[in-house]
Formats: sequence, C-alpha cells, structure tokens
Amino acid sequence: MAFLTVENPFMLAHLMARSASYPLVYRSAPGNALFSPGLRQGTPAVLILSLLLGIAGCAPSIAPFSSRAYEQAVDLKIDTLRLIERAEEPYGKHSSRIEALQIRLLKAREYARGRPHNDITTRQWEIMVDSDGFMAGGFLSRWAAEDSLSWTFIQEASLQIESGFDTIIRLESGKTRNK
Amino acid sequence: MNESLSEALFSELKRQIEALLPSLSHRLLPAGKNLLLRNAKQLEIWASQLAAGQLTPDDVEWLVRSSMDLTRLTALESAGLAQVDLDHFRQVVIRTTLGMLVGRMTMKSS
Repeated sequence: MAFLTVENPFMLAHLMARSASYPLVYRSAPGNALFSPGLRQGTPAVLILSLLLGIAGCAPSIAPFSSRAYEQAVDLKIDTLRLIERAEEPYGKHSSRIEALQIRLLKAREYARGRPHNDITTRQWEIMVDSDGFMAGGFLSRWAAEDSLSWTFIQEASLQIESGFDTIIRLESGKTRNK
Repeated sequence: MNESLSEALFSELKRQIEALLPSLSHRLLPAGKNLLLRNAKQLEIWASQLAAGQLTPDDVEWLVRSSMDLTRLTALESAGLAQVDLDHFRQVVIRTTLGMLVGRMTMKSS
C-alpha cells in the first residue's frame, strides 16, 4: 500500500501534475483502482481532488492562537489582581485606575468579539467583564457600591478571579498555532 | 475505491479516532472533577469564615455566585479545547485521505 502524507495542498497539486502525465483532466480507465467501481469512466479526477482540497482548506471551527489575545489576557490578569488587592481602601482613592482597567477589560472583550470563529472566548470575556456578574467586572462594581471590602473577601474573590482568567489563558494557549 | 484502499483508509481513521478519544476525555473529565472538588472545599472554608465573622452573608453569596461563573468559564474552556482537538482530527483525516489517494495515483502512473 502506497502511503503518503500531504502536508501542503501545493505539494498535492505538484504530485497530481507529475502523476497524471500532464493532462489537466485525469480520466479514469477501466481497472483503475482509484476510481473504477463507483464512478463513471471519464470522471474528471481533478474535480474530485479539487473538492477534497476545498474541504481541506475549510476554515477551522475555532480561531487560531493569537499572541496578542494571550498577552492581553495575561496582562489583565496581573493588573486586575494587583488592583483588587487594594479594595480594602476607599474606591475613590483608586477610581481613575479602576476606570482605566474597566476600559481595558472591555477592549479585550471587543477584541475577542471581532475575531472570526471566536465565540467561546468571547463568551468567556463577557462573563469576566460583566459588571452585574461575579468575576472581575462584578468585583469592581461591588467595590464601587460598598466603597471598601474586607481583607478575607478580597483574598477569596482574588482566587476566583485568578482561576477565571486562567481559563481564558489556557484556552488561548491551547489553540492551534498558525505555521 | 477498491477494497484494499478503503480498508487501509478505515484502519487509519480508526487509529486516529482511538488517539483522539483519550485526549478528549483527558480534557473534559478531570476539569469537571477538579472543579467540583475545589467548589466543595471552598464552600467549607467560606462557611467557617462566615461562622468566624470574617465574611458576611453577602460576601458568601457573592463568592458562591462567582463559583457558578467559574464553572461556566471552565466549561467554555473545555468546549473550546475539545473543538481544537476536533479541528486537528479533521485535518488529519483529510490529509490522510488525500495522501492515500495521491499515493495510489502516483503508484498507478509509474
């Protein structure tokens, strides 16, 4: 059994040209093991192989790895955790930094939303930034509403938010890298 | 497509599927199990902190709800990584099929 792994569609085209001795349409002959039983004689092999190449070229169902998205998630994780450590202090003392962080979180969500086939990561960011939710966005809202928070609550909430960011980072890291 | 080619193709697909399934279960099952164990452990900690007056009932409610958000995030992560595995599998199947067909064509023409 001849076995050949084709890594590149261009290589396939090259092999097709070689193997078919140049006719653009490779016609099946009686007894041709590749095409004989199911296909009519004269079936253009190029058409079939083009179809297969078309399938091979289909876009993946999930966006590939993005180094920008990865760095964005890591930076936001670190900056968010460092800022919420200060939540024992009055909100007003850090309001400008908090607002700047909220904008960066929203930008990360919008960046995720703008990438094709990136629905899952977008949903993760929506949970993370939701001001009515219970991750980073929700923590900052609670800080604003209560002005300051207890040290124990900050510690426990930090662990939750850190784990939440880690899910986003691991998913991005696990995506296929473009060669 | 003659029998030997289809047999070889199916055995290769079978091998790829067998390689994929442990990878998927490795991703999905431990993530869910670890999360359940983590949530149970944290509930105990929060209950004791509530009893000690270190957390308020509102704090505990917020943290329990954050566990639900974290569960959703973890489920999305697992779903995304499973999708990556399936995309990879699809590419392998297509390349294997094309490789076999081209191999057959080149063998016939030589």
